[in-house]
Amino acid sequence: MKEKRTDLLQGTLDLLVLKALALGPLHGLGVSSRIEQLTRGTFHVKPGSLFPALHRMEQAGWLKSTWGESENNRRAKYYRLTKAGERQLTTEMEDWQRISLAIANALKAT
Amino acid sequence: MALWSRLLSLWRNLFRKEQVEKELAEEVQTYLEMLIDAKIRQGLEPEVARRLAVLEMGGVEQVKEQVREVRMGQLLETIAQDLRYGARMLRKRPGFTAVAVLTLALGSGATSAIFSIFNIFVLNPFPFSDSSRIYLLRQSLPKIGVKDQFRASGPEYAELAQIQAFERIAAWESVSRNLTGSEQAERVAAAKVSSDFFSLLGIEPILGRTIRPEEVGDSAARVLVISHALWQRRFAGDTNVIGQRIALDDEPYTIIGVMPPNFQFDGGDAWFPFPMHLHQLGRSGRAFAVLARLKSGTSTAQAASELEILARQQERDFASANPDYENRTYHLQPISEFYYGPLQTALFILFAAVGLVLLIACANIANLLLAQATSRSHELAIRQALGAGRARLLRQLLMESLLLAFVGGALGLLLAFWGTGALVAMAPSGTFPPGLEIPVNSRVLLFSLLITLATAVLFGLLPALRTSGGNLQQAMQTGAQRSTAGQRHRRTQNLLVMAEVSLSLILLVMAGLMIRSFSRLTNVDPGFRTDNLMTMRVNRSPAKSDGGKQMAPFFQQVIEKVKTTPGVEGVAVASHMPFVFTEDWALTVESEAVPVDLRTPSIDTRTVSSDYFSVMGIPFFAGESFAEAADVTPVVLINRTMANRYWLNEDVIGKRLKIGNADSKSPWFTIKGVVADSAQGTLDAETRPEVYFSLSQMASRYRRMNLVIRTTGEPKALLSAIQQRIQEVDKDQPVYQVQTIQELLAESIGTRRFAMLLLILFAGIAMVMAFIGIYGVISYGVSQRQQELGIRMALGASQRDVLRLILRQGMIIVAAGLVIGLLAAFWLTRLMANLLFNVSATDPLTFFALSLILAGVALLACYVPARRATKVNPMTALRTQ
Repeated sequence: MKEKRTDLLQGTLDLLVLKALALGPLHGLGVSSRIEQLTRGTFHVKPGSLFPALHRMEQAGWLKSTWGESENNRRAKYYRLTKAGERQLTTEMEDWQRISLAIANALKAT
Repeated sequence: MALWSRLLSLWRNLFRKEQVEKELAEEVQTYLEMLIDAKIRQGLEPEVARRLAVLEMGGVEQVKEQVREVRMGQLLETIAQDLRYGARMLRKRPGFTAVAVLTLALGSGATSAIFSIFNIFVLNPFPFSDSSRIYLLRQSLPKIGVKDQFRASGPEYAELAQIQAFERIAAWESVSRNLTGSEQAERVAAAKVSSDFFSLLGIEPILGRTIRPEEVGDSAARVLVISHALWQRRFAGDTNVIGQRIALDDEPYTIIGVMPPNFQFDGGDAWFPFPMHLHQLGRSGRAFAVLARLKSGTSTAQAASELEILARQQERDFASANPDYENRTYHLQPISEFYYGPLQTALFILFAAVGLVLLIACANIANLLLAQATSRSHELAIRQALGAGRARLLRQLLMESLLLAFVGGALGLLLAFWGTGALVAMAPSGTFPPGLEIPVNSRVLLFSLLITLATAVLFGLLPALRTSGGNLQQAMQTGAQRSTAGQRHRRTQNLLVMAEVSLSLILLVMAGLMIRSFSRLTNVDPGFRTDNLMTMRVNRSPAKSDGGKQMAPFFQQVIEKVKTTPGVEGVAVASHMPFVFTEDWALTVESEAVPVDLRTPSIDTRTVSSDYFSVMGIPFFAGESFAEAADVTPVVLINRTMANRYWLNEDVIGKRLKIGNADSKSPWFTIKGVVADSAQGTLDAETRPEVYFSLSQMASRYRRMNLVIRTTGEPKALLSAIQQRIQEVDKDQPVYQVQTIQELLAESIGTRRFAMLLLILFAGIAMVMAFIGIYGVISYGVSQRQQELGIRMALGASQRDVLRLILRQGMIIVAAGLVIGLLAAFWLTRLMANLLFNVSATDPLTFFALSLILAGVALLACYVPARRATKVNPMTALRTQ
């Protein structure tokens, strides 16, 4: 808990959650540790941001939740991507790549 | 897909709230447990792991709250919360809530009731298809003093039919007939119509057909279209009515059609074709009214210019034979104005008046809300300190107002349902068409809804802005609240009171003008004695009167018989009574005083028996009354105005006049006497020249006469005795429309009286509300200033000083309100000028007197709390802090 953390941009959180779930269904804590793992510890998503995001995205129809058993035999709510969520992931990834490329170019210019 | 998912969430969030909350709690809890498990797996002590996990999470409740905020339907949720809260606040203050709701219900109910009538007569005046294109044709013939009359002659009708701007024209002539054929004889209003009459109005019969073109002008084609009301009344709605025969004045007619219930025209119950071809009638015999329907897309200006061309052409072609055509003009009057013209003005004024009442009600409630705002500022400050934004507070306060407005509005709508019916029922007969049903339709409902929303904003917004915008710190310090927040509210309250005073003054002046105008009207001398005078109609069919020859003898006999009834002082006969209608004929006068081409004016005429003047109490200025059969040559009597206008008051006895123009075949009538002027159509009209013909010489022109009976006591008590006498002459003779002259008079001013009473009622309500408003604000001010007043008195101010201080402050506001009200009234009352009689719309006396009355009421409203202020014990006042 000493790693450098970056504040998550609003749009990036959605993208990261979608990306995390693209690999398979996860519960809340699973999503946050998957994101930490994927970003190699750069991003640490707090539950105060994570849960509103998950609920918002479920309402939008990108995610679907089911109750299941966790590895430690706890009842947990699992989220997985819907078809709409997969489509959303694709568009958000494209958007992100375009933006980051543009910004990288902008920063490279002297 | 996304929408569906959102709707599903909304539904779950609103209606499966417990389930959603339970799942959220479990989800967040599981997260925490799993986080702890993870930390224990990393080798931490369970205690330490738990503490670190909780810290990392940032609080279970906060996380849950953050999730709730992104939920669908969050806004609805807070609104529901505000409503619940608002309802609780209103329940906690039952006195205030009851007053506010009742005031609002009265205001919005009265407004909606007037609106539902307004809606029918002003916004949607006629139940005919596309009625805005239907006009009544009027013409002026300045040469013979005819202004805006609506009768046309046959040849004129044929020429009018050629106007390109008209889609079609139709003619009608209202008549009344004795209907017989089944059990009981009945008097009905009927009309002769042209074949286009119904198609022009755009109304189809519900049974049978209307009149065919070939039936017009064919006196053998006795076909009859009847009204829905007559069909129900006489035939009990029998569908086999088509083809049945009934008799009108003993002439048989075959029923060919029944009109729908909403079809009403001139009070008629039966319509039959003109028995003659209109174009065959004479050019100066103007007998029937003409309706025109404009072609769609044609403007009235187009039609007017065509009518002007026609008028000039008629002048050119016929002026030699018809000198009255010189400078003639035509104009089109919207059909709704013809029917509801005066009613529309009255309704407009009433609608405006009731709107003012509603505004005053709003001002009053706003004042009540402001008075409470001070006591609530503490509560609101706490809410603000706990994180509620100003918008949130505003929304909550407005929601309370809205709740009040809706409860008041719903109650008001009930009141409107009832009030509309009551208004129509209370209105004097003739104000509204008989059998009128005023539906509370979607437009009225929409109007009520808008009124409700508008009132909520009107009375709620100002206090809400004032209350929610307070300085947090000041509000929290209860001591400061009295002086600072209170002062700000007081300014707003003063403004509201000022508005109330000025609005009430406008209403009072309106009512005052009506009262003055009405009293002037009732003080007009009708020119005859109105007490113990009764009139009834007697109709003779042509068969019984032998083509008119038996009319005079019959009525002479009736007069002789009725005279013998005990209690009857005198009996006379007249073709029509004052206040009912007038009749005018074209007459040629033998006079040197007016130019030759003005000697065929259109003059009011009346045919009467010789006793008419003595029975009515109309004095003679010169000459004497008719001698009935003893008058061997044609004779007439004239009124004073006639003598003045055509013979300049010189000796008129022996001068002559004739019916029609100078070349007509009419004999010359010699003037036998001059009588005093007496009322004709209405009390508010100027007396016009009038000619009286003799019953013996002219009765054959009529089918109907009125008996005029002067009695020693209550006239109607003698009715059956009088009827018996009449039946001794003809046992089948009915009488109808039995009325005293006082009733006729009252009826003729009934609508005016009704409008006056309503305005007085509204003005009274307004004054009471203004009183309450002033009283409330002044006593509130006194209660807020107890401490200050205590200090003043402790320092030696006398009770008088305190009284004067409070009164002066109150009356300054009132005076400002009065000045504004006077200016506004001065500007507004001119709109009601044509409802007034002999009173200027800016009558200074009315303005002055009512300002004084309102000032007096305001002074009283200030005095009571001011008096209480002087009773303040300085010590107690100082201790209240």
